Amino acid sequence: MDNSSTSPISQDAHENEADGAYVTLLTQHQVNIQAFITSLLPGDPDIEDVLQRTNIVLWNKREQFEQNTNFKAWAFSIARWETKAWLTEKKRKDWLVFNDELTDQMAEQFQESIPDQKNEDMLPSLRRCLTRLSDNERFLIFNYYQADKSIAECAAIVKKTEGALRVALFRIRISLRRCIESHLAGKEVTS
Amino acid sequence: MISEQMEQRIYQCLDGELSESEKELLFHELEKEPEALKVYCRCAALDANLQRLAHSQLHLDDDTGNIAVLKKSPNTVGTKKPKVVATLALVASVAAIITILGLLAPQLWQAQDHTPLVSFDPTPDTQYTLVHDGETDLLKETCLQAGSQLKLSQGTIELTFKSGVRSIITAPADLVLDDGNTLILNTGTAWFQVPERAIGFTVRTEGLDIVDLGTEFGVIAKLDGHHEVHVFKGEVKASRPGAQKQSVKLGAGQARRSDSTGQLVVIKPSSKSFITKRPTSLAATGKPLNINKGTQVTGEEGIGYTLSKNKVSTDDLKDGEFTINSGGKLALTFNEPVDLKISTADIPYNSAPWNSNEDFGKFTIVEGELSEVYDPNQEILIEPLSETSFKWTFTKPNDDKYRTPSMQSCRIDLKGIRKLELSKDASSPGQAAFKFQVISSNRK
Repeated sequence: MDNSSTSPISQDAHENEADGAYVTLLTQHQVNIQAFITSLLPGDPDIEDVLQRTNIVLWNKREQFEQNTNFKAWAFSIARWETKAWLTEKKRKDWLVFNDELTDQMAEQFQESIPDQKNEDMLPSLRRCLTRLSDNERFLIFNYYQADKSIAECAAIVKKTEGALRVALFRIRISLRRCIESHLAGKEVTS
Repeated sequence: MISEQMEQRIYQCLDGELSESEKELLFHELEKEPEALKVYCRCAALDANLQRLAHSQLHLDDDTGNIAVLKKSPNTVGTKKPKVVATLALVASVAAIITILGLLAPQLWQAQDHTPLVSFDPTPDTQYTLVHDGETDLLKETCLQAGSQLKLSQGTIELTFKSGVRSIITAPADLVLDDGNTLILNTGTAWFQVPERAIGFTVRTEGLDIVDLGTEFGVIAKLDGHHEVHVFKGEVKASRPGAQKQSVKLGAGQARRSDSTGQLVVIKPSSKSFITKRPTSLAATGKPLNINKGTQVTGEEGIGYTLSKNKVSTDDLKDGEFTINSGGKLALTFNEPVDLKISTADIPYNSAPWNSNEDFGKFTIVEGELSEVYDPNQEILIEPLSETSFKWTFTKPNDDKYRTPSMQSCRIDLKGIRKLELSKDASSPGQAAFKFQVISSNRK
């Protein structure tokens, strides 16, 4: 008689397998969740804290997640809830986060206009597009994103005026966004 | 399409540069303009990806497996920009949760696996630059991470992927590792051997996407827009990226060229174009250039040497000149025995110094004989290494002479030559330049 389906070892193995699949989903969607929280709290220095809170809640609620359902939608709803909770704790009132209609639209945009396939491809496309920048442009963009500093502070480091750096970063990001979109559009056609 | 001004305000918002009232105004506008909202979400996604990429450089696993911030960000106070979660930091946070619960998922182990995605092994004297996500790797580590760019100006490199894929890349080449399963070959010549477990491995060039279906194949990516795939074993799927998609399955013995018109043209497969085994020295990578009488050589370049004349006509072969940049070999093959005069040639002053070790090079007569050495100033030494092979060495080190030696007056004469090989070892620094001149044909 086969008792394997009821043995404690088998149950542990099954749980580990399910947890493994869950960790995969969680890891795969980290950048999506981060992007969504960034869109809810643009320019906020505490995005990391909210992301960590969201990750912890997502992990604690892992057993409530039904496999083969939309993980991203589920993660976004938790991220939105955690963002609200965090703002409430901080006694901050944020017009955007408490505007359910607009945040609903944002969540939909992340679901529709940036589908999973594109998000998975975004990082490789970004890498490819970064190689098309000049050394100086790459230096600027990496310094800005690595330094965790404001444009004014970063301008002093890279020895540019604040205005010049702002314009340069704007141009670089516009060209990166367009490059990524054209790359992804090409892949969409060919896939 | 939204205005540039709107996009600029979106970035200002993401950079934390708008006041609360300015943000509110922007969001009201986003609410009314779906296109602008779409761009806002895409900009936020780009922002998150850039932060992830930029910060993944700052965190490396230390020896104990803990996450350590090794460099950068000397000052993290007073930030307006959001702090970010780097990939490994994220893994650490998930790891912490899982560890507390006493669980360790296999995927997590994968994430902590220290094996590099790709390690590489250059031949001696190979010249390359390595950039990890925008920063030059000054330590010259021999591994690639996702996003690493490797530029090869000279020599050969063997890549070993974690997935088991093996590749030999020949200079000049410029490549980017997309991820452990995808390589972007901007330019260069590359041979790939893909084991069964890595089926799906992809090589992308500007003109071709090649997906492996369990095989051995070669890819050539040229700056002029010509891209080639040659299949030696198994199958690949080759397609043109972009809107005008053409996709074709290629089997062993098939090859295609994607040209600037966007067509996949049938070409003859050529295994000779690819190196399939890492050479032990750069000199060994020099594919001999055979100049047959009756054929023309037009601007052909090999590894380690260049023809200084774009066109060497051998229809009425009289003379030629070539330079061995570091290590390399050039073979002259004649359809009938000829008498030849070989001398050194000028190297421009603006090029690298050459022959600083006094070792000029070697010539090997495959068929024929060395008849005479003219060396009135006693500046060179011809040392026989074997009956047919000779070492050519300078005896008077002098910078001026090294660059523009009185080579016009020193030369060697060779008689009845059918095949001659001129070579310089990569271990001898600098360059070597030779001239050859046919004195007479032996044909009666």
